[in-house]
Amino acid sequence: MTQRHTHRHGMRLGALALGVFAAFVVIVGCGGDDPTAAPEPTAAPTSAPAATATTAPTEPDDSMMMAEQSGKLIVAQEAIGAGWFTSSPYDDYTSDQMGVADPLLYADWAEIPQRGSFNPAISIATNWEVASDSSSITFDLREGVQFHHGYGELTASDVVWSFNDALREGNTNPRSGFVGEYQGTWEEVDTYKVKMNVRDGATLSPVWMLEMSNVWRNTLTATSKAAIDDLGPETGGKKIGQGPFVMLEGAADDYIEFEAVKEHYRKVPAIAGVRMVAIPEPATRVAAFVNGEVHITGLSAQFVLKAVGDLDGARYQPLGEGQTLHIYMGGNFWQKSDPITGEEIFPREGLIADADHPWISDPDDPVSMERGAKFRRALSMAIDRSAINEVIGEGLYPPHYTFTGFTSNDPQWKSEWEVPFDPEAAKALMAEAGVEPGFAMPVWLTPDSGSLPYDIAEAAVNQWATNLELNVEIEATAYSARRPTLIGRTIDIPLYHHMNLGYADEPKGRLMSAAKGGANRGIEIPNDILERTYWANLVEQDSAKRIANNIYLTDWLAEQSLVMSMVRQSQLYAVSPMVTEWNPHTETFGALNGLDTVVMGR
Amino acid sequence: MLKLIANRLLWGVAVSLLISVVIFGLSRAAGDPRNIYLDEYATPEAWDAWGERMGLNRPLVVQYFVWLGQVLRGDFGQSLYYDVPSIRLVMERLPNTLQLGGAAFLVSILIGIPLGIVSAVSRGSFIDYIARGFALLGQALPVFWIGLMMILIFAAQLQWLPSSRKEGWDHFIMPAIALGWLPAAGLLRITRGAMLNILDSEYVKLARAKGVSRVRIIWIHAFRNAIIAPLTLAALILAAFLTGTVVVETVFAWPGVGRLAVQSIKNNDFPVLSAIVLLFAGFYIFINLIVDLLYARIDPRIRVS
Repeated sequence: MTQRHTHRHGMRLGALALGVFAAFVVIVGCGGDDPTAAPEPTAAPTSAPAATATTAPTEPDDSMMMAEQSGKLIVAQEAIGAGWFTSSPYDDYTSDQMGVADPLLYADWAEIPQRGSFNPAISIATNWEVASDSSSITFDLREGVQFHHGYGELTASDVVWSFNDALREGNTNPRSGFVGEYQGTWEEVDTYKVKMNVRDGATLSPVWMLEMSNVWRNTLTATSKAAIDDLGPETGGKKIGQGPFVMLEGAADDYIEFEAVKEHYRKVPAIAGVRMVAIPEPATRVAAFVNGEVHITGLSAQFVLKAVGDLDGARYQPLGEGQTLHIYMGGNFWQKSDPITGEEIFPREGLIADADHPWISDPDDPVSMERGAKFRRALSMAIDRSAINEVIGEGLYPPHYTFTGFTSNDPQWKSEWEVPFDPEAAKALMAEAGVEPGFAMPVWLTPDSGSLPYDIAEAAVNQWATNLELNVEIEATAYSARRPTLIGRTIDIPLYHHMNLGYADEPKGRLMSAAKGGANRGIEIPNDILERTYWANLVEQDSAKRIANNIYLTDWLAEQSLVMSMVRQSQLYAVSPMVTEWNPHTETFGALNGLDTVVMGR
Repeated sequence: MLKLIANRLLWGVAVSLLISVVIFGLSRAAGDPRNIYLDEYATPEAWDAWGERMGLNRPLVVQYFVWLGQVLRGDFGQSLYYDVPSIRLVMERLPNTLQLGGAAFLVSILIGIPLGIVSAVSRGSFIDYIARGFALLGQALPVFWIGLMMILIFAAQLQWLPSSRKEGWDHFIMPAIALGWLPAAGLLRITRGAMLNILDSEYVKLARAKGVSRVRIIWIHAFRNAIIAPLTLAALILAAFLTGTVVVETVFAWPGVGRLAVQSIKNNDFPVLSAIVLLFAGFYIFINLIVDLLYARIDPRIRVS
């Protein structure tokens, strides 16, 4: 009886298993929604075309003509940000870089000229006039610019509504904090004319043109007021722009489909559309690229060389001028007062200039200042930047030495800015600073920032252990957990962060000032240095003088060794031989852009 | 039986509450999520506005009970990162995870059980060693490594299969095998052990003595009795598949709940993470309840105790 009883349950369980089995067959059979045929890899062209540098104004394409469009470009990114799908109509940095929304000013430079002028022929703004007292700028808007999804023509009311909404107090738009430093209210002058008033008490940035263009990551774009009225605040998944690509559908961190417009004032794409997919693992992106599943993908130097090496005819494309990677000597808060309010802010909590913090100097103690400068210089001299470039950067991340962005390619370059790799001299300096081998040296390396390659900083600080015999203690705390110590100026250890390379006459030093909200790199430089450099450059209209001020700042920082620059890193993209032409423009941090210029082989 | 069900349900509720406290505590211990969503240029006004919008300005205890009340009503809150209801995100991704889990379950059943039977029947043979080697590798090799190696070999080198993502039926093959190998190894070992026990039992020897055919002995007498243990394990494997897809979904860029969990951790998006963890926990509790009830149904001693 027991035997039969067990058998009966066995049979029931077996039937259950079969049922489950059948269910999964159905489930799997139903899978694979939205199938997209992966393109077959094709034979490579004999020579890959290089990106075209465009520094002169460019005439618009046959903008209002129908174009023959062919091919769908498939782009793999590490992630597809949620900003594409949030209710805010302009909440993602990449909506303009992907060509969905155009900023008022558009430049197609592959390199930023020293003093560029924008080409109004390809911008929404066709003309502009700065008030004689720099209190406002009036823009003429191009007529006939059409919003996507049938929302009509862009007019002054769309621009005014969009920009004022983005800049209003309480808006969570991540860009508004930056441009809101000087942009006040926007006004409609007439249907095709708008006026931007400089915020009370603020100074119009001398490089406002770049900051309001596609070259600058933090620029704002206009959306359709009619679309917002129609769709309500829940416009997630409907970025109503006016660029060469229309966003059709997608899902965060999965995919987005874009369709090329047939008519456009600036550029009618040669391709029919773009499918952007998210593949988080770099090794998987390499495989997808080699396999012909994707045509363009962003990768680090090691992976990009592997990818293009494994696919005949493939090439890599550096984007933008790249970012510079630094270790900031956190805790050196030397500013005494807030430059705007005059409020006393010294001493900050993070300023702990004692034997346990030999990289921190007390600005009121000359001995501490000398000792700290020697130790910081020793740390910098112990880093073999060329080795980092060769081993991690595969020769694509050149050594870098300045916070201000000057490189040996610049006419202003000074050889004394270069920090020699000299472990023996570094040890001697460290001894002079009174720091013994074996000293416990903390450093915070953010492990979770996509724009901060961990291995580069890890290699640099491990060289402190090797070359200076320091006991390096890496703190790999998430950025979110450490951010309050930057905002609150309580951080008292060196930290890893980046900068955009920028341009020579840009006001530099804003991240080392007390008066710039939360933004900080763990350092505040003295008021007199800031006044002579950053604050002076904010009002200085003479580019040569601004450059001279930046050279002064670079000299001063080199002397103090407050910022330990390591390498310059361009964002690198593997490009399939299927892509026969692509002319991306410069973007602050080298984000993907210019897909409207892509031409695909047949 | 009803008492048993009530007892198990009560325990399930208690465990769920405990998990909710842990989830909430851990999510807040990771820091203020505004540090992720607001960049360095954010104004203090934007900071406060976000706090107000997300309810972050209230005391922690109040936040917990408000959150728990919402959860009990099926509202896990708005995703801090994606700015849509958390439960909607999870439900959008769940079918993808269920499909992958189902495919992997199929792989583990179709490989583990037959191979276990063959291994037991051919004990000590070459096939047995191959099968045991398969099990050893499956249990020893990390899933992410298996996944990456498969991508390297079958996608990058041979170009037989797509590297990643969920698009057509062929996109299932590699992730399903990568996910199913370890449980297949477990099923193989359990099936083999159970089969060996039964093949050595007196009633099988009697059947052999009576001249019953080898096929009939294996499939009717031995397999039917040996299948109970693997099937019990299979139920737990099914639950593990749904909760254990985190690594595979990340390696293969599979848009499922596991990858959403990874993104939520990275983004400190606690409403989404809470929804996922509570869903997984609830699923585990449910599966365990079902297994307990099945045991009780099969074995009267459990009902009595």
